This record gives sequence, structure tokens and C-alpha cells, in this order.
Amino acid sequence: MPGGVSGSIVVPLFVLVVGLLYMIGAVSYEVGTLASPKAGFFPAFVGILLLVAGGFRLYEEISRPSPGPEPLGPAWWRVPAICASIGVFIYLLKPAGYLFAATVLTALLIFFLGRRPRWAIVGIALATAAVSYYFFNLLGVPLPPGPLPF
Amino acid sequence: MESFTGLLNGFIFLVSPNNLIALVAGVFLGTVVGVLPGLGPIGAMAILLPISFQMEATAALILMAGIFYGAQYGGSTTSILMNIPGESTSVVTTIEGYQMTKRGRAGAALAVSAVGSFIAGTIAVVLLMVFAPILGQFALRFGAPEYFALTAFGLMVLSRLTGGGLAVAFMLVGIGLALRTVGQEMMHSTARFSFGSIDLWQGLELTPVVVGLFGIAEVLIAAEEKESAPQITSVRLRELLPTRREWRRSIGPILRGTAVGFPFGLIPGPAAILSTFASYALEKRVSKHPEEFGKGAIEGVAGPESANNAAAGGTLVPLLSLGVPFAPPTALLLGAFIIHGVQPGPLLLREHPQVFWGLVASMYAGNVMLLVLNLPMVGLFVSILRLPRDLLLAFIVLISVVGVYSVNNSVFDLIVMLVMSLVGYAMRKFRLSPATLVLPLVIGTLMEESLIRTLMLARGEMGYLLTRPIALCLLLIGAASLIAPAAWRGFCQRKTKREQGAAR
Repeated sequence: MPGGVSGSIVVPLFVLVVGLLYMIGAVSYEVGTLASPKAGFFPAFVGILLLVAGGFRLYEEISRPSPGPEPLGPAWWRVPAICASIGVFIYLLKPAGYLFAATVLTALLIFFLGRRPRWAIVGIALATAAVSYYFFNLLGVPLPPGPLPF
Repeated sequence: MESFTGLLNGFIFLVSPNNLIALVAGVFLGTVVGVLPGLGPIGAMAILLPISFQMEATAALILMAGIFYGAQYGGSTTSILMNIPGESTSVVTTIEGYQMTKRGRAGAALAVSAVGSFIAGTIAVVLLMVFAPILGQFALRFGAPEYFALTAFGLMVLSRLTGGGLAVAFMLVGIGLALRTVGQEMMHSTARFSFGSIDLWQGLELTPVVVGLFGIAEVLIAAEEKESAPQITSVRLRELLPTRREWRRSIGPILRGTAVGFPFGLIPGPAAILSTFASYALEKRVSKHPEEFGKGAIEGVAGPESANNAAAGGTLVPLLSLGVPFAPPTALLLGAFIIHGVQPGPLLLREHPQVFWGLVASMYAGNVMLLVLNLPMVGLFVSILRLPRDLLLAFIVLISVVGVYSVNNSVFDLIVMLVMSLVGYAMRKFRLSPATLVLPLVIGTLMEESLIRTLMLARGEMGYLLTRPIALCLLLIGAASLIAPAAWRGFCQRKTKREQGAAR
């Protein structure tokens, strides 16, 4: 993109903002001296690194813009859908238990990722949740039972 | 003699049900992820890292290492049969391997690739056994300044992996170190960046971060692409035997590939990938049949496939002897070591001999298993590609979330994983390497502690580092690795200009 800036400029700007906030946080702890460094010393060092690297990258991006981010894939909507499905799982896990949360997660993922009849989605999700529950129990992984007695 | 006794003990230790199951599972899963385009060994190791918590440390590390070197074997299968590299290290194999498939010699290509991988992998383990203790012995002289220099060296050399410029690399290193500083600081017991949250006070766990960055982020990338049915060439068992002429033409490339690959593993960076290109170029140069290259020359399969396996063995030398990873998969392996309470480095052999020798013994046995698995079961591995993608991805997500949750029974870890998966997805879109973010996260604590101790020892005199020869050397080599690519580019540009000037 000659003469302009590409979408990649977001990255150094983001790093600069994070670096600035981080630096403010770092100096709120005691930094100490070189001979007697305190808890804020290393974060201050990291904050300087972030600001210098971010600033330099911003300068590079303005003077020589990079090609910009890769375009979204044709089924890009699946990305937020999968994240939302995981979010639902996280929300349900403790109150509703693993079996229910895993069934919902698997059903949502198969629904978003493929084209199967609804009865198949429910069947596969139930079977996957039950088998995985049994398998993880065998491995000794403690999973929340929720309202179920087992 | 000491090595022989250690190895013998390693084999005795290996022959326990848990370790053997971990080994078989590791090499099998490694082959599977090698076969599957898109899901690499780093993603698989990240996903299985939390599951390995339920295992004893050595068994867990055997599993992780098995996935790492097993993927090098599996990657060639799809390269040869489908012209799709299952692994980045098998890109070169597609050139000659797929041409051999088109000529009806797929079986021979697969067999030579598996045997070459076996020979190279085994020689690499012998070399690992020789070099790691020597380097480890040397590293016993390390104090706080040397450890600080070593961690700084590790960050400097691995930051070159980003593929971008220096600024990009240091931005990612900075973000990784910043993430590491979240939580209670050990030297002064101060809670940093915890904002009153008990979860943040405990710091960010490595597991949810790597599962998000590598596991779920890979799923997100795969999911946004439309699926297409793969065209798979089937291979019968009897077709797997190369002719005598093909064997003769393969032995030299296998040995040369091993000789090229192992030293590449000792160099920081994407060693295995570079070694395959170097091996291919070498074979093309020394071949008596250069005209066959590009049309299915077996040397172009045997050499690179041996090189990537030898390089995988080589990358374990700096990890085991210095405790510093020189490649992204070994950075994750280092994370697995630390999570299981084992610090790789100069004291590994003294403090955890069973881990070191158990791992070495498992690699010998693992290479044999991979040879046995890969040839007769090639049909089974290829059939994995026929698995419905929606079920496969859903299964990977389920394993990941359960794994992350099981580490601390923490919903907060799941939230961290979800956030990091979005970060990993965005990083891939912006062509940034998530591996550069993980290393500082793994070695950040060691770096901070050794820096603080060094400064206290030196009473604030930074010049103290210059009086420590090992630390000075490490810092100079690290700095040289940062400057060298730019200096080399400048030198080449000047040379080209001079030549153009002379031509005029």
C-alpha cells in the first residue's frame, strides 16, 4: 500500500497503548535502584522494551507499510461462533455440570462446523459428552457433576 | 561407560507400563498430527499438556517428546500421497515425493522416507547422548550472571523466528515478559498487576496460554476455511518395498541428510525446515541424476526426510543441557518440563537422571516404534484424513477445554484460554509468530530472578557482566544473531551494486 498505512499499524499502536498502561502500572510499584532493585524494577525494564519496540515498529510501519493482515476466510463467522460456544461451556460448566455443558458445546460446534441433521447432532453430542466423561473419569480428571448425582 | 550405564538404566526405567503407554501414545499421536495438515506438533503438545498433568513427570515428557519427533515421520505421508505437506518440515518432500506417487512409486517413497527417518532419528539420539552431557558439564559453571545472559541469549536468538523485523520480535518478547510479571513476585512477595483478583494474584498459568495460542487458535484458523474432500492415493502393503536400485540411491542421501540435519538443530531458529531445504539443495548438487530432480528423484525424499528427523534430535541438545530452547516445539517442551517440576539444564543429569536417560531411551525405542507403525499402518493414518472435519475440530476443542480446566479446576483458566485463542488467531492474521510470545513466558521468571541477583551481586555495576567471560560470550553471540541478518543483507546489497557498477 504505497503512500498510505496498512491495517498492520494496529499492532504497534496496540503495543504502545499496552506498553504505556503497563509502564504506569510498573512505576506504581517500588522500582528501587540498580544496586537494590525492587518489585517494580523488572516490569519497568519490560515497559521500556515495549515502548521502544512499539515506537520503532510504528515508525517502520509509517515509513514502509507492510502488506497488512491476511484476509478473513470464507467461513469467518465460524470464529466468533466457536468462541461463543466455548463461552457458553464456561458459563454452564460449574452450575450445570460437565455432561450438560459438554453436550451443549459439542452440539453447537458440530452445528456451526458441518451440515448434519438435528437428530444426528444431538445424538453425536450426547454420545461424545458421555464417552468423554467416562474417559476423563478413568484418567482421574475431576469434572463438575452439576445437579446430577454421579 | 557412564553413558552406557545411564542408557541401560533409562531402558530399565522405560519398561514400566506407564512409560510404555506414554511412548506408544506419543509416537502414535505425533504421526497422526504429522499426517493432518494444519494441526502441528506444537498444537498437539499444547492440547495434551494439561492431560499430561495426571501422569508422572517422565511419562509426561516421553509423551510430549514422542509427539514432537513422531510428527516428523507423519508429515511426509500427506506430502508424498497428496502433495499437501502435513508438517512444515515436509514441504520439500512434496517436490519429489508427489512426483514419485504420480509415477506409481508412492510405496517406495513412503518406505525410504520412513527408513531414512529411522536411521537419522537413531543417529541423532546417539549424538544427543554424547553432546548433551558435555555441554551440561560445561554449564555447571553457571551462576546468576550466566543464567541471565543465557536467558537473554535465548530470547535474542529465538526472537529471530518471527520472520518479521527486530522491532516485531522485541514487541512480542516484551508482551510475553509482561504476561509473566502478572501475579505474586517471589523476591519481595509483591502482587503485581493482579487488580485485587485472587486468580491474577496466582499469576497466569502456562497451560491455558499455550492451549489457547496454539490449540484453539489452530481450530479457529481451520474452521474459517471451507472444507474440501481430499484426493487420497491408496497404497498396498506389497507396494512398500523399494527396488534394489532405489535403496542404493537412498543410502547416501540418508547419511548426508543426517549429517546436515543434526548441526542445524543446534542452531537457533526453524532448524528442521531449513535443514530440509539444505539437504535437498545438497542432493541436487551431488546427484549423478540431476535431470531427474523435479520428476520424482528418490534422493529428494530420502535426504530431506532424514535431515528433519536429525534436526529434531539436535534441537533437544540445547534444551536438555542448557535449559534454553532453540526452536518453538522445544519451547513448549521446556514448558512441560517446568510444569512437571523438572528444570532442564546443566543439573538435569545430576538431579533427574531418570528423566534424562528415560527420555533418551524412549527416543531409541520410539524410533523403532515409528518405523513399525508408519510402514504397515500407512493406510490407517491416511484414512484419518477421511474423518469428518466438524467432528475432528469439535473433539479437539472438547479435549482442550477439559484439559485446561483439569489443571486447577479453574473456570478462570478457561477464560484465559479463550482470550489467548483470540490473541493467537489475530497473531496469525497479522503474520506474527505465537512461539515468540511463549518463550519469554516460559523463561521470564528465571530471567527476572537472575537479573535481580546479578545486580545485587554486582552492587548495581552493570560492567560486572563484562567481567564474566561466559556471560559476555553469550551476550555477544546473542547480539551478533540480531545484527547478522541485517549486516549480511547490507553486504549482499553492496556486493550486487559493485557488480552492477563493474558490468557498466
